[in-house]
Amino acid sequence: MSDAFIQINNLSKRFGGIQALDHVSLTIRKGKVLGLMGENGAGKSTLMRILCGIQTCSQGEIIVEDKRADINCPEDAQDLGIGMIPQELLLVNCMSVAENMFLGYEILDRFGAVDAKAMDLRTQEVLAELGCEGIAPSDCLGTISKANQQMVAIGRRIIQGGKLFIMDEPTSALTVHETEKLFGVIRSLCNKGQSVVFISHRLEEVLELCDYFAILRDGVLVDVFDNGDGISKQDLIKPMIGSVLDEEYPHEQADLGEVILSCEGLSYKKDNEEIVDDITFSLQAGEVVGFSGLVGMGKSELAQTIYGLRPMLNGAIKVHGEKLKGHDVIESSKRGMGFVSEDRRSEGLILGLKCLYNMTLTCLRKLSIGTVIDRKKELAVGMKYVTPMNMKREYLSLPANNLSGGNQQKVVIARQLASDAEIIIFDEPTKGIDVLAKSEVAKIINSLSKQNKGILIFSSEPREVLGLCDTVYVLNLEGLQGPYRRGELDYQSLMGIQFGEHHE
Amino acid sequence: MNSWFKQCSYRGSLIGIVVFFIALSIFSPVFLSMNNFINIFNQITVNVIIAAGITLLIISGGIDLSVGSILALCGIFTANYFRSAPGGGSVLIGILIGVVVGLGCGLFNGLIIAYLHIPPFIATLGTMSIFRGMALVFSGGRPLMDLNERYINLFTGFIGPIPKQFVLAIIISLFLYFLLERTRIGRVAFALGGNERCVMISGISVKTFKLLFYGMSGLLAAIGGMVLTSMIAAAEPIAGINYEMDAIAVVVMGGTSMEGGKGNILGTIFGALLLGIVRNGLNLLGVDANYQQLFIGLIIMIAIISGSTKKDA
Amino acid sequence: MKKFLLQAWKRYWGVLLALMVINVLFSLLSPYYLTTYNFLNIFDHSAISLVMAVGMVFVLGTGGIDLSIGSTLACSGIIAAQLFKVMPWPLAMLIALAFGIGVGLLNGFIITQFHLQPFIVTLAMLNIIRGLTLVLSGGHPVIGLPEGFLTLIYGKSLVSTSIYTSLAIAFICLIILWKTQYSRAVRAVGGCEEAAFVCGINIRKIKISVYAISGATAVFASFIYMAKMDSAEPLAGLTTEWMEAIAAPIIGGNSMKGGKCFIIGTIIGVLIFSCIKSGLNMVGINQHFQQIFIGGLTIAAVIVDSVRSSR
Repeated sequence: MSDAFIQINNLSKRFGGIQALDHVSLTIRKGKVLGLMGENGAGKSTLMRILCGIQTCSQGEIIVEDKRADINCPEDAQDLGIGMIPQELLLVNCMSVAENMFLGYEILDRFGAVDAKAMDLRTQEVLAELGCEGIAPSDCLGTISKANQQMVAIGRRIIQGGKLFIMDEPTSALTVHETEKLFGVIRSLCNKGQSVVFISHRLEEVLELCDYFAILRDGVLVDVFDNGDGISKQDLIKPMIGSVLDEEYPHEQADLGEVILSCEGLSYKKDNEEIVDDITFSLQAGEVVGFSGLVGMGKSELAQTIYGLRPMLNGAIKVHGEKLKGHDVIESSKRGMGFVSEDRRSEGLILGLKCLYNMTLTCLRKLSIGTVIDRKKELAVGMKYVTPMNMKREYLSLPANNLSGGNQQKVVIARQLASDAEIIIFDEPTKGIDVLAKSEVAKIINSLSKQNKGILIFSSEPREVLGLCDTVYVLNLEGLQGPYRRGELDYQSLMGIQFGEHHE
Repeated sequence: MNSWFKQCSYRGSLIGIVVFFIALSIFSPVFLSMNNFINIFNQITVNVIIAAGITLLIISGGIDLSVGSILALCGIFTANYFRSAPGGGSVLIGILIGVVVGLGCGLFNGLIIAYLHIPPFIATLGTMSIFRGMALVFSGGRPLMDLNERYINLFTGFIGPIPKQFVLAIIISLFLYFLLERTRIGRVAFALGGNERCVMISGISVKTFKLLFYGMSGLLAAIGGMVLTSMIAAAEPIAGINYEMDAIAVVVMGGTSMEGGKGNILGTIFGALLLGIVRNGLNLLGVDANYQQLFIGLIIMIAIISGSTKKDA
Repeated sequence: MKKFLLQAWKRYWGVLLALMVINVLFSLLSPYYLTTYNFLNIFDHSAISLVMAVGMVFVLGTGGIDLSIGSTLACSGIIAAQLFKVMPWPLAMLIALAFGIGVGLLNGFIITQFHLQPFIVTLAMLNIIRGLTLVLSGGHPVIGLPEGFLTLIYGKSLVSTSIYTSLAIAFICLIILWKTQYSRAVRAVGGCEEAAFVCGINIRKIKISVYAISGATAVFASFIYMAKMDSAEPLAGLTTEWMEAIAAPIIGGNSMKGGKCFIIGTIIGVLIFSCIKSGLNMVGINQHFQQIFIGGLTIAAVIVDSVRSSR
């Protein structure tokens, strides 16, 4: 008991209709590394953000070193030594290493001026502690490697007087060697009595580094146990995924036609500058092809590359056997591709515009005489999709902003249909949508395949991929795995492949 | 009827017009005369023309600060033609020259904004200077007079009780209203102002439309220039200074939001009317001209603030 | 010291080269260019733009912009000149300064409170203050300024002290940049607002205060202007100085996206403008071309900035 740094009691958080955290009680121990595990949406980020003061909880209490803590803003958390190093690191690229480390916590001399020399000195010390050679305090942050930037972020926490270091997916951009170095730093932090929370999907690393685990599922703390020789990947995977529900995604097989899209040897850059290459697959008319994988494996980026939103470093994309001329969005949509973005609100919809107008955005040419829009025709298009998608007629004249997430998604899908897209790419089709709407969207995707369209689904939701898709690919650390035909995989085996296990 | 009024984005202007109309009718003996109204219409003509183009731009998420300079430049080119052509030249060609110059300036704006990705306000701030400088250079810094007789008389006269040039301004505005409300081009304008990224992802050529919109703004500034030089029978290199502010003023007063994606040309017309009536009223009541700019400046700021939807988060 | 010079060279070699090329070009084109008199003239003319430009650096650092400085310059001048007649001139200067800071604070407040874009708010403010200037001045310049004031700012000798005044202000800004937590907070807000937030920086305070700085420097620029003209003009600052105050920092390495605060580069940028203006004059090119040129240079600077920041 006395090695408890933070005691979280009955923490709950509600977002509108969704219970993000449900009476979570957890002890964060001093000098130990906690592996916080859970699927996407399980509540890990929410829990950590509440601890760091970025979000408030609906109920529950946090006790830090045996004293009840009132954390309402980042500063409160910092005062208690709690802070997070998010995946994006949140460093200022145009400032130097030393400036970043001391941001907001600058050393002042007796005149109140900034003491650059003292800060440089201390920066050197911290960098040495972290085992960072080759970077100087005056180096501009934008010029050093991601691994070193990570060290700077950790250094910043050390200087802020951090007692708890929360690291969110710290190794996604690191090489094996750099990861080892990071682990060394984490261990030495623990030896000094600091606490670490390590959030990562890379099970091997987690098994190597962490002293104990806490598993979250759907906002509930499912299990807490120590690491040991007997603990394997399956011991982590099982509690994360719980029981398997099958009928969320009913599927009806459509007849497959000719190959309408094929990608050969595609390579592209992920957001963290890593290159993914050798993506090869094909899509037939009426087929639903799914891409699964953990967060950070590059699924969204692949979707964007296929559609032309992201540059293609290598390879070829062929529609109906013909290579695409230019590689941009205008060319792709001319050739019949449609794209349903991961982020509806910032990319998929024009929130202030009527839903009807959102739907007809790309097919206006068909609906106009010259440049004048035929309003009757336009309304007819809207009405055509309202019933099959189970939307209310009134929605058509409401601004898109007023609709629920599920209905908003239907509007975006309707737009693809209205423009007669043959190949529709879905990036996280049911993200942020309630259960009822999820099944409606699934039904719509089913009917799309029946209409001989080719569907590509990129999803972090394994059940979705298994339920909807005829063919499944997995993006993991080793590249693109697959194709796996419908029925070949079940939930366990899919998750296994995602985590790098080999499927026979 | 009631709910339309509550929703109407330019109800502020309408209320303002009614209020000032009544107030001025009471406090000024001269206000309620046909002569005075004609005066107001003439005063706001150029403003209405330019503001129509600015409305389109602001709705699509852009802005054009160089319209005043384009106006002057077009006037200078037309005037130079009239002064150098034998027998005064042809009115049609003169106008054509001015219009082409305006279109060219607008397209230049569109090019650097759409293709070089420069923020519209700084781009047009720069071109505002460039075009103004060109106007000064091509006119030798002096106003150009001795223009074609027929050209000067082009807009004199009335259609019914309303001056010809104001009718032109209204026709132009209504044309743009139709464009915005009923055509594909207008729909894309609203979409661009609402979410440019979404429009791009949908496969629409954002660059082409931006070129079009800035070209139109330049074109309208040119038309405004033609009307102005005809009205005062001279092309001044310093004409149009501050016109961009007046245009933005009536656009925001008319309920169009600076955020883009929303707006209405009818609102702009009423905003222009309101501004014209207020200016006219201040003049008639003998208020110092110097106070007018301050007063109008405050109105603009208030309109901008009240048009923002994101109050303190 | 050596390290600092090396760093400065690495950063500014481009603009220094441009400055050199410009000077070489004009010395070849005109015999009068390479004279002490001309250079003193250049520095003298740079003073006003320089003062406003270094204030703008902080605003740009947060990713904002202040278009109202030209009118603040004129208005504070009128206020000071009128107050000179009824109170001791140091007090009048202080009140004028308070006015400039007040305008800046109001700009910052409106921008942050209503989440409006800086350009439109400061553009609207530009109009309001222009109007205020006309009201306060009746459209007429105010002449006859106190000796003490003139001597302080402008000096009596052939070499006007305006150069020193402007450099002093630039130096103060440089000290703020190097020696304060504040300037780091400014750069963080512009560079990565979220990072500044998690480090406990008060984003709103920073965003409002930078406009107070640009307002203050506009007032100082106004003092120099008045001392030079021995009068306060209601139309002052309405020509090119205020655009230079925006373009020069961008040439000097500051970015419109924020995160950078380069004072030395700004000084070089201002010098580039002044040398070209002077050179064009010497070569006999029309005044009016200067407007074209300044607009063009502004756009060019922004293009370079956008290329630079996307790399």
